[in-house]
Amino acid sequence: MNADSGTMFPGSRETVRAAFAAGMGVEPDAFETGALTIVERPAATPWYTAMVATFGNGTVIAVDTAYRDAVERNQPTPHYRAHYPEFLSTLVEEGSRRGERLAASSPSVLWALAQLPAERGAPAGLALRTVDKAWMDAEMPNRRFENGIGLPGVAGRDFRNRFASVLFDSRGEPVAAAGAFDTFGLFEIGVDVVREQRGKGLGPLVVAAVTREIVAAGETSFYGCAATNIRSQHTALACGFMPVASDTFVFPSGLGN
Amino acid sequence: MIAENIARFRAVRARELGVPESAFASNELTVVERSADALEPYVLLALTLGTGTVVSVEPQYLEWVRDNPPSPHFRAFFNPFLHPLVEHAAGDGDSLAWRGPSLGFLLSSPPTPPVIPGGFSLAEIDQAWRSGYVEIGAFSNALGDPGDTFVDSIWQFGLALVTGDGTPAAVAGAYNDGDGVLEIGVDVARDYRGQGFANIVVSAMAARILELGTLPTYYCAPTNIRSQRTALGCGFLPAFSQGRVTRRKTASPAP
Repeated sequence: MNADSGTMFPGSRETVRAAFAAGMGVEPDAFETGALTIVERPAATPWYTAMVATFGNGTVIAVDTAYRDAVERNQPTPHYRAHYPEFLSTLVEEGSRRGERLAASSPSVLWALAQLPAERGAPAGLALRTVDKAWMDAEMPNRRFENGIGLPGVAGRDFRNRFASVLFDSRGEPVAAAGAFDTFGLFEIGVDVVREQRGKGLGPLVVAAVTREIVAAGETSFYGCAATNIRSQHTALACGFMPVASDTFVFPSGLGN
Repeated sequence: MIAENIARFRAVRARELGVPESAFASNELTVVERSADALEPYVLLALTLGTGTVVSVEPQYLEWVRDNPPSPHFRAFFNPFLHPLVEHAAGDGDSLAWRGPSLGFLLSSPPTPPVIPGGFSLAEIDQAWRSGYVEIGAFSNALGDPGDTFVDSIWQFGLALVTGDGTPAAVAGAYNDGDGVLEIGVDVARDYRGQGFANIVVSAMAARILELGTLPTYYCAPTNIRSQRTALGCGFLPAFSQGRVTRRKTASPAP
């Protein structure tokens, strides 16, 4: 897809940016300054020590009050170096001085919807269904779909999950799951395909299905993956998503990332 | 085209790193000693095409990496593996730094011939032209940074979109990125941004590289949203990711 096509993208970008802004306690324009904006972490998101986000034109850091001074003292220049290990490690070291074990992630690749993906039929022998949160809650302890369904007690998926598009085999066993879960009021998508069924296009199939469900519900879809996850990036592109932002975290190291 | 380019890239990197091509499809970690012939002066290089990770490391840290392998393999790019290595090196007085994984792109379709806007033209640029701009720190992605002798050695040629009076609005540089591989770096002058000029010079450069029978590559950081969209807009697709540990540059002692 041409990076400039996809008539949904401007609206999607604006909605995703507004959601991140609200979630981080800033105005959306804070992401368009070409500079660094430092704010205190909102009370609603206590699970991270610092969150660094960019939509390409400026960087916002939302930080635990206790660490704000450390951020101000070590302000990175230019602003995007806030995602770099040299800056993030200053917070980890500050944590160490305070007796807190912190860890830093690497920048993710975040995507917004540019074009509604076409409906894809399930291959022979598999059935596609939309499942609700109750199904997701029941499946989660099986630990089969870390991204699509989530893991118990990790990243708040217990309460963030909303619904999922799942492919079932002839025995009724799920083989691919794309779950929609709340992130700042957006419907973020996570996906997994069981190992034996990989390489058959099932990831894009369930992601396309859940994306269509999200759009039909009048909500805004959102997708994130690691820079090293090439397959996931291809899935995003195949399902009509385009790169929109990147985020990086410093967090208590006992938590899942 | 993407499958062919991935195969070609994989073959080049496998040869350079001294691993079988299957290492990139193993879904496992492969650790090798950095070759003395390696083009780049890295301490550690981690490379994945998505289904396995190869780590190439300087001999003095090979044992440490083998004793502390990241698991799963893709954690070779991340803090829990790289930070302890940097700390271990610091204990030996070796000052290292690491950067998170970059995005690596390969062409999935032939570049569309760019439409040059009225009042502009595409000009080939050489080392002499380059030197003047490097000296003032302009167009650092396309031309390199002042004093970077490694980049000086790998920069090959460039294309500039220039105004009628020869002012460069956008520049793309081609860098040696391995046997038959050239990396594209791009910058757009601040006053000319937002007009699609990056796509023009990148597409033109990709076409020029193909004409030479070489493989174009494109890299950017996950935080560089604009650059990702430039790559995608010019027919590139994400194909690999790499991370590095390098030795920090120390200031030269005063005479």
